[in-house]
Amino acid sequence: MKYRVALKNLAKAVLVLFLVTFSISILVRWLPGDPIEILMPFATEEGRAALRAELGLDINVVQYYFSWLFDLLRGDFGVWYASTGDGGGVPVRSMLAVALPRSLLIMLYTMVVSIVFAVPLGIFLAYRAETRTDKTISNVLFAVSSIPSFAIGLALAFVVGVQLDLLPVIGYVPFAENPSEHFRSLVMPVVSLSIGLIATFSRLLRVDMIATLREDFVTMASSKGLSNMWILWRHVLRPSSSTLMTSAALQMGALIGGAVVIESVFALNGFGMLLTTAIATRQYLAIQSLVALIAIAYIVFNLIVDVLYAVVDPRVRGGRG
Amino acid sequence: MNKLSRGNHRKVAFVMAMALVASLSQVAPAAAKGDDIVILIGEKDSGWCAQDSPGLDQISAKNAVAETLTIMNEKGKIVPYLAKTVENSADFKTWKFTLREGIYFHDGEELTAATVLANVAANLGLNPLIPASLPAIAWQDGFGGVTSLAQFAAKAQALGKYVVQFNLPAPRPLFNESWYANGRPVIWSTKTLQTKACGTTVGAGTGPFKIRSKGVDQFQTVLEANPNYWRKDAAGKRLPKAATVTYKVVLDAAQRTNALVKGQADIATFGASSGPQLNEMKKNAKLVLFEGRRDTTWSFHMNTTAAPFNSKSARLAFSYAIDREALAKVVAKGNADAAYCFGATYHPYNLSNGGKKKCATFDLAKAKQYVAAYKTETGKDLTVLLPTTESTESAKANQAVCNMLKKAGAACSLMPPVTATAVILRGFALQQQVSWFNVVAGYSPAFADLFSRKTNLELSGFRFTNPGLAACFQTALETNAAAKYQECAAVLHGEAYWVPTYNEGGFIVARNTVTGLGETPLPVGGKRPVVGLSGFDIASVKVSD
Amino acid sequence: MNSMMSIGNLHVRFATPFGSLEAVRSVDLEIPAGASVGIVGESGSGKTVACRAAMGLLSGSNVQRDGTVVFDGKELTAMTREEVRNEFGTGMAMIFQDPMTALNPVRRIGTQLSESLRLRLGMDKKAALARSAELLSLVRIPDPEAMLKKFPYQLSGGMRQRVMIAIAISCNPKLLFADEPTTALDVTVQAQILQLLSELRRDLKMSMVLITHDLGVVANHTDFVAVMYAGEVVEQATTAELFANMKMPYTQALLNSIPNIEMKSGERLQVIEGRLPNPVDRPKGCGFVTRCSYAQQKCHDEHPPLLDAGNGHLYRCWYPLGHTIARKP
Ligand SMILES: Nc1ncnc2c1ncn2[C@@H]1O[C@H](COP(=O)(O)OP(=O)(O)OP(=O)(O)O)[C@@H](O)[C@H]1O
Ligand code: SF4
Ligand SMILES: [Mg+2]
Repeated sequence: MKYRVALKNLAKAVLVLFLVTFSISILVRWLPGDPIEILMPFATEEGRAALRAELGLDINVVQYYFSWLFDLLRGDFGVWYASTGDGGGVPVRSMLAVALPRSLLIMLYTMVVSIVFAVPLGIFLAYRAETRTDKTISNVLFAVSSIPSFAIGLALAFVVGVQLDLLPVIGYVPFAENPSEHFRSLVMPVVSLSIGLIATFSRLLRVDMIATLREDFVTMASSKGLSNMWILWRHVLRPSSSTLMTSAALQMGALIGGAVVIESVFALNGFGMLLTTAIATRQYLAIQSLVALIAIAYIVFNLIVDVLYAVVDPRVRGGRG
Repeated sequence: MNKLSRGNHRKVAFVMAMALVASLSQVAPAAAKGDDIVILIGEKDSGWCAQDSPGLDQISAKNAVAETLTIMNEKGKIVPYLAKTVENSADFKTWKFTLREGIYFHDGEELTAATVLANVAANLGLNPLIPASLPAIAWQDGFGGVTSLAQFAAKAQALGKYVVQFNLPAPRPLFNESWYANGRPVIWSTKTLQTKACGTTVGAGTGPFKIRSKGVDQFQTVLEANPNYWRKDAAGKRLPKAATVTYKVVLDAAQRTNALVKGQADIATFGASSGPQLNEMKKNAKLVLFEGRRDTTWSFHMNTTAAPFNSKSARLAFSYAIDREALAKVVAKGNADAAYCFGATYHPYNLSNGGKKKCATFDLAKAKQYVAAYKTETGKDLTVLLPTTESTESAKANQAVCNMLKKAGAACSLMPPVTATAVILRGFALQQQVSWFNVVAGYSPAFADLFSRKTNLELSGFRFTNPGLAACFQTALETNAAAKYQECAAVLHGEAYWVPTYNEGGFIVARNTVTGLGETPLPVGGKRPVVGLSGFDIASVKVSD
Repeated sequence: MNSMMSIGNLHVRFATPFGSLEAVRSVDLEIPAGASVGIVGESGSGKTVACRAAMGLLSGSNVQRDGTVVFDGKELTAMTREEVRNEFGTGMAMIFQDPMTALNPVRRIGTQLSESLRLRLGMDKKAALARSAELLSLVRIPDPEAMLKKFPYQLSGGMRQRVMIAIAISCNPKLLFADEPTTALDVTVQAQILQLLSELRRDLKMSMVLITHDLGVVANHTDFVAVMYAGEVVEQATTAELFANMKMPYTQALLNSIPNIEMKSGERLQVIEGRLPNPVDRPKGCGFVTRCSYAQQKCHDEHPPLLDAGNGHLYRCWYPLGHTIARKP
């Protein structure tokens, strides 16, 4: 019966995708201002009419949506209109080819770093729950989680980049070009993005771990004479990680399109930047395709987390017993 | 036994720490030295077509690739450039451009009269492939509104391989300046014109550098030396001196500063609003700052089609409420001047009478009076909504303006921040009460044109319906008489259509290892300004170790 | 007889939002080596807390434990946590009350069972798994190899209880606390499990503390009995003596509430009319007074001390039962 569940999930995902992309089609039209005026302020009447037709401003939104959708399904993400105003431009796909891998890698590194630091920290805090150490660190973490990432980024750039002269302050180097420079170029952006996440994740984990620590099976485990570390890592962590995983999935989605400030500070020019520019310059087709990608990313990350849930908690795998 | 698990975690942490240390300890490669120059700019490439309106940052790159027929020298005078001579009849209706011989485009084409004609036709929108453009508005006007190639051919002919003559229906005393227009109407090769791309992705000009690659995401442009460049340095040696130039977009001014200090870049550009960074860099012995002439006026452009600024009282209240000295300090921290009059002091529009007179003044009493007048007129309180961009500078500056308006008794608040481009675009689309942006008040007749003709641009961005003003500017355009310009500018001020706030010149900051900035001689003698309205000349620039 | 564990004047207090809750008050208990001691009492009387406190398993900043516990000649109450932990598994072990919550839901039976063997006895993984399978067959689990790979949710309550027993005995403890090992189970399974425990105790030469509600279980499986009420030991004797000369009205009431065969499993027992006294705000007299049919004024006014009937039979009552009750088969 498992494939039925999978089918149901797939159907849900498709429905979500449809709703997101369709509402974006409508919302994009609600953006203030005539897109023609913005996309090609100096165009001739013919040029305007042509673009109007191409953007589907003449047809109804449903018709337009499906023509966009079929293009998307064929792998055509639309055109990024050049301001030449002749309706020509660059395929969005080729811009994505540059921006998306960067954003995915930054997201991946940020997630790995955040989790690697947040988990031990969360475990430590739960272990020391309600002691002065826990209270102090938790308060600091709360404060840290409210510092905007770009402030951390700029501070890091100045101290680590300029004063200590350890890392480059701008630019992105693809892995294939130079692996060590690739990592060096991303250390500060990833750290800037991770610090807030470490604070958030460790606090989430702390709360869940404290709840799990009250469970009978934990007392049972200690009655077996196991060490605290063993109990925390082997017995308590996994059953306490579902909130953390859910939150991580959301953050993964958010990092794809939402790291725009850090992308801007460190001149990384990833997906977030692309989307922001697309919105500002009313790149109708691009906006829609990019948003669809983000929606897909959210769905994929959630599916991944669903799979992880099952790995972490066997009850999910077999249906609750 | 417990050690088993702990040991594993330690091992993982150790390996990770080692990897981190290894990657950190590898010293950052020094900035490209010698032949390779890295220039950081703060503005994304919005395209190199004539109608794109790149700022100082992008125009430098564009003008390193493609060049104009005339150019502005360091004294602010328009002189021939790709053209050897520019001659005109006494009535300013006949203009003859004689081109330099032996200039070649990067794609091998020779610069000839035919190329120039193709470029004009293209920019006029006559070539069906090429859209109309901003300088084209001036040309359209100059040519009396040609709409077909046939009409165009009657007004522009090649008199020889290297001579082009234009016969204009009406006097255009500043027609030579139309060919500079702050570096926008560059001459592309015929093939480039056919690609419609005008250098956005590919393009061959005559400039010292040719395009090696332009990032599809518009964040990086790499140029390489043009081995057949036509200009020579003062000693008669070949130009350019550098092998490659990389323009990178770094939006954050603090990060441009950091990268420069660190040596990740050789040159970076800044606006006056990066005052704190500029002042910091002035103290750094490793860096050299160059400032352009402060002739770029940041003005509030009123949307006169809608409340409240369709009311003259509201506009005047706004204008009187602004303490420009204070604002210049807030915005630029000493790197800009308060602006009272429209246009730079050397400009014929400028009403300042050599800088003594203040055209628009800060006068709190009068501001209050006009706020009250607005209330009597409309029955409503004057409520101003200022657009802001995402930068902290913008928020600060607009907040300062808001506070000034509040002191005058008006209500004021900030709109949610959007990108700088969005502010301008929304301004064009008349979705804001005001837009605050810079207008390069150069000599360009195109500029007067903004007021005199009902163009797309006027429709988009600068709409105010004042037929008297339009007529005034039209006459000014044809006579180039200072008195007439001043008459028009007086109306502009009297109505407070535009409210000048501060004047800035662009900044470029170079590491002290950079040589040759602003040193290339112009073929007719003199030089380009180190920082000018069309950017900076990088033909002689080199980096020493 | 050697003492396996001796508990002296044990007090356990929990700090709660309503005040200090004394769950165990002044408990003295002797567990002779090789013996089986039953602790009976209705729900909430402090049986679990007393045993966990004795073992040193209660943790948390809201717990306060006083008294002395000597285990196998070592004073646990004077030892560090690490030292006490060294006694877990090999010295003392506990079968937890609720098999549904006491096994880690996300770990395989094999892992949970073999980890004690690996960590406490230093076996390698393979040996530990092999031994785990043996242990599972020892507790009469069919197909132990398959069982090793299962997760707790895949098991019935009886199977889980057996797994818990297997875990508890895995390191050959000298003393086994069996906290209501059968409450959650079917009556037929209950009998099997109790039988199993008795056999294991005999074969492995363990001492055992058997916690239960059920005096019938006590009668068949223990040598000594302590009856707890509201955190106190209210009657204590050898099993034979207790059933021969029951002194406490409370114990009698418990005896009357022994479940019969017709009862469905899991059905809540109709124990004794009335409720336990509020543990935060105790009455000054006998805790059972509101529920006792023998109560007199004195019971309201004075807390009865633990008296000795002369033969080591201890009871806490002003008006103990004078007659003999026939022992149930
Ligand atoms: N961690 C704790 N915090 C506060 N009170 C507690 C805690 N653990 C137990 N108690 C209280 O201590 C008292 C004794 O509980 P205990 O679990 O020992 O009862 P029990 O005799 O084992 O009952 P049952 O037969 O239901 O298992 C109860 O009132 C209970 O509410
Ligand atoms: S002391 Fe009194 S109330 Fe308490 S059990 Fe004995 S007779 Fe009953
Ligand atoms: Mg209990």
